[in-house]
Amino acid sequence: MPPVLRYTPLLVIALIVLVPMVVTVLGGFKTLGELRVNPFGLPSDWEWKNYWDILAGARYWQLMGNSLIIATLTVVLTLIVSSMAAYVFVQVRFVGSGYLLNYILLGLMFPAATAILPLFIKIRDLGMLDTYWGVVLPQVAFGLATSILLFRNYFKQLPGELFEAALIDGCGYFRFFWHITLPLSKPILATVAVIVFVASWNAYLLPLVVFNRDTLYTWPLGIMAYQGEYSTDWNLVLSFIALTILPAVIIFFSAQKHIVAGLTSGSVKG
Amino acid sequence: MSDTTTPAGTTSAASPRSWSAPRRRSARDSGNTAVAWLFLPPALLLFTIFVVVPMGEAVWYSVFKWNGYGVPTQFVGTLNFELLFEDPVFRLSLFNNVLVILATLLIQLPLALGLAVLLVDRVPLTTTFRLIFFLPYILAEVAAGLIWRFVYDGDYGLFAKLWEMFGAVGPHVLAEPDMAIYAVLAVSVWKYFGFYMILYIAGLQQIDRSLYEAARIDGASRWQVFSRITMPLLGSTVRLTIFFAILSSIQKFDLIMALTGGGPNDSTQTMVSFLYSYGLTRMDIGFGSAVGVVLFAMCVAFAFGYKRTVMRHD
Repeated sequence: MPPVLRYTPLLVIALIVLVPMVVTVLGGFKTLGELRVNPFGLPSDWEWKNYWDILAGARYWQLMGNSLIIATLTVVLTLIVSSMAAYVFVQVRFVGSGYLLNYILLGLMFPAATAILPLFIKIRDLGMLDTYWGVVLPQVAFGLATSILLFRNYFKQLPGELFEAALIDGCGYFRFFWHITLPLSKPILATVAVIVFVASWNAYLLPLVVFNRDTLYTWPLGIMAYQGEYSTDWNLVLSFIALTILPAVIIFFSAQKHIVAGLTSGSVKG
Repeated sequence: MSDTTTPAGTTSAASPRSWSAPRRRSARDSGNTAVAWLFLPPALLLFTIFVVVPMGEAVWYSVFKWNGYGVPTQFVGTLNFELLFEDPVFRLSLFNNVLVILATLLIQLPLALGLAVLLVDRVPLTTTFRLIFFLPYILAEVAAGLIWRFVYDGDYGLFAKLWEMFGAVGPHVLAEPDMAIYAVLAVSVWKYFGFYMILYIAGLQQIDRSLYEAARIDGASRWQVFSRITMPLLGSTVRLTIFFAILSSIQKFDLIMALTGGGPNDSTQTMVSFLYSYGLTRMDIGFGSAVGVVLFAMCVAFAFGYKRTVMRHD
């Protein structure tokens, strides 16, 4: 294929992808007046104040902290609960195992949004509105189907002889899980962790429903509120957006191989 | 025992196993039961409490008029569903979801496939382009939506500035009821094509290179190679991506909220944003649950129907 034919569409689309993001970051360095006349170019005066004010304030860190706590709790709990369940589905034969697995795999088809109203009532009745757990537990529950499926597919590939040998040597189910299965499963633990973390970090609907107090807001809620407050001060809003997507972009570029593999494997194998 | 044990493995393991089988089996059974009783309930409980029960309750609430306090007592039968299907805003939401699906199927996935074909060969800058195209996918929908809200802004945005360069007056794209939904569709394509491109690249890489060489020797044209080799062998990946793309199109929400909040004049509502605006914010639990039930029925009907027909052999 001639290079012109290959690279022209690639370059055009790369521009369409990159320009909005670059302009967002640069826009955060401009004054409102300059943004109006010069939205594309480099700022004539780099207005660091926009960024410093956000970084020096408590609000940004509180949003990031809330998102981090919720995502971490969701990941840890999902890894524990779903790896244990998948282990039982693979290693233990019992009546009804197939039915229970199918029951949980039904969750692959449940969009969280369909049950959001009853879920809201449930969280309220459990007294978990305005708590981290009110977001974490439903997130874990809705992620179970995918993560159990991923763990199960992985555990099934582990050599069965290993289990036989360990049993003969007197290693029980629990020790086998903890000392052999989990250490051998680092790749899939990482994959599930990436999928669950990203989903939780970016989640909007559930925190929107659960949180009323803005001290608990995760960053997607916070950034929407910020946009609402400063709607016409686009330079401030842009610097806030840039700072909130910064962690995701840094982490993505530092571990892109694992992240791309993780985020896509959920769909390929699911 | 794993399903992956090879026939060779089972025969070699067979003789020592039969030796002391009875004793070990009893030890195994007790470990069996204990591990199942301890390891399964957390997952089953969480799933039941937070996924299955709320879904069942949605069906229950949907036949009541209820503001969410006390217990639902005002039984209204199918009234909520009747109101729903007569509601012009809900019809528009449904129509908008269809538009999202069409944009996905007719623009996003073909674009992703085309780029995958361009980027599957090891040519210079392949990795860079792949990373760039994947980048929007890692942004939260809320962040992507707000970035584009700026791009579309009639006073400051890039879009308006581009128009002004050609001497026209920049439109307030997201404030025009006729235009806003198409602007939303463009952002949706922008955000997700890279993800599907990566899936297609993975699929293309599994195709045996020797088939292409054979085709080249036989003098096949580029189109023939694509339609006779690439497409059939990529079939299962394509069918899977269509499945995921449609299911996620039906649930579009975050992007809508960040870009337009469903406005102007409800012209960009989707089913989920409709559920949020008319069910949750007004605490009209019965009506909102009816929306949820309809949404759920559509997802399940589509998922089962698609798996039974299109993905029958995958």
